[in-house]
Amino acid sequence: MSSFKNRIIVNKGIRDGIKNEMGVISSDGIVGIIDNTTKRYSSIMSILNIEMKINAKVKRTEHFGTLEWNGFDTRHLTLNDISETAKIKVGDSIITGGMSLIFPEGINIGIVSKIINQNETHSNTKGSAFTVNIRDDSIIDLDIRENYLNIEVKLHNDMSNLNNVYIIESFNKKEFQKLKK
Amino acid sequence: MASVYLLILKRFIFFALLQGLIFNNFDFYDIYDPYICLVFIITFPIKVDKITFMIISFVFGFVLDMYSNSLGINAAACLSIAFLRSYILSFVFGSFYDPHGIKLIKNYVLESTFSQKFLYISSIIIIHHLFIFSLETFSFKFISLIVYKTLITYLISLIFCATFIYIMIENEK
Repeated sequence: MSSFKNRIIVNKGIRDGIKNEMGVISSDGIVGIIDNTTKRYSSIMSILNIEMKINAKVKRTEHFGTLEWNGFDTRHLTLNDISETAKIKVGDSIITGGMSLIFPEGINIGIVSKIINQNETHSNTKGSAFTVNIRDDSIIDLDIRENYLNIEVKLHNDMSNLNNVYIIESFNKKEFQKLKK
Repeated sequence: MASVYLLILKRFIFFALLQGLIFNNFDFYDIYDPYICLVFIITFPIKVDKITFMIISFVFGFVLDMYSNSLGINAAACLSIAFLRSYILSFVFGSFYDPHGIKLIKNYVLESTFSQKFLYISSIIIIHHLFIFSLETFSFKFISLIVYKTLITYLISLIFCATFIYIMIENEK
């Protein structure tokens, strides 16, 4: 847990049919992606890894974005790139989106615990009274381009006491990749 | 000289085990681990020549890597800090530092000011942590993460290392 790139080792490997880039979930939510395999063991790149990006969406409104870890908080992830117009509330469920070849759609990840409006923070850091005035008059400010929400997601599973995990394989992966070419 | 190597061997085993088995699983606020292993490098006898010191530090870091499943980052950081230690010593202690090691550790402890000791320990810890975390992320994109984590881990490491060194000095008396 103390690393920026956390790994988990499980005692199943190539012998048991595990391959690279298979998804790993527990009964509560997602855990990570297989990134290395040996004959009997395989290593999982955990979701608590700063290089990990997972496609996720809000269950109620179907808005999708990218899930990332900030490097410090082991109980929360950040969901980026969700449009500001999305009416998301604290407590909404976050599930995996259908755009990944690794995880199927609809696996639980967590719930929304905090919504950080990037737009507001953006104008605050700029510190110009001008922008604030315009916003008060409710005229659209074209200067601000980043109309995206930053959402803090509380994970369902506790990554520090995982016991049994499931490893899932996408059967149509090859077919899909063929089409993509 | 043989007794010095025996002392180094004893400390090597002690600090490698202490770091690998206890302090790697410390998990302060889930993610911060103190690097108590730096006491080994901070208190390494000065009269041992630099090449031997660097080789021993590399092996020490390599053993730590085996414990923490990291691919050589501890070895690299320990080696760099072993290389830089003589420069840090001469920078902090000035003319008082003798590279041939005629003076004892006791002289360094008794005849230096608090700020000198603080600066010596702090600079070694900070440089080591910067090396470790930047090698771990290996990207300038996460520079703020590296700096933040370095500072917090530095504070924890400093407390533990200073306490340990204090205990060692008291025992020697």
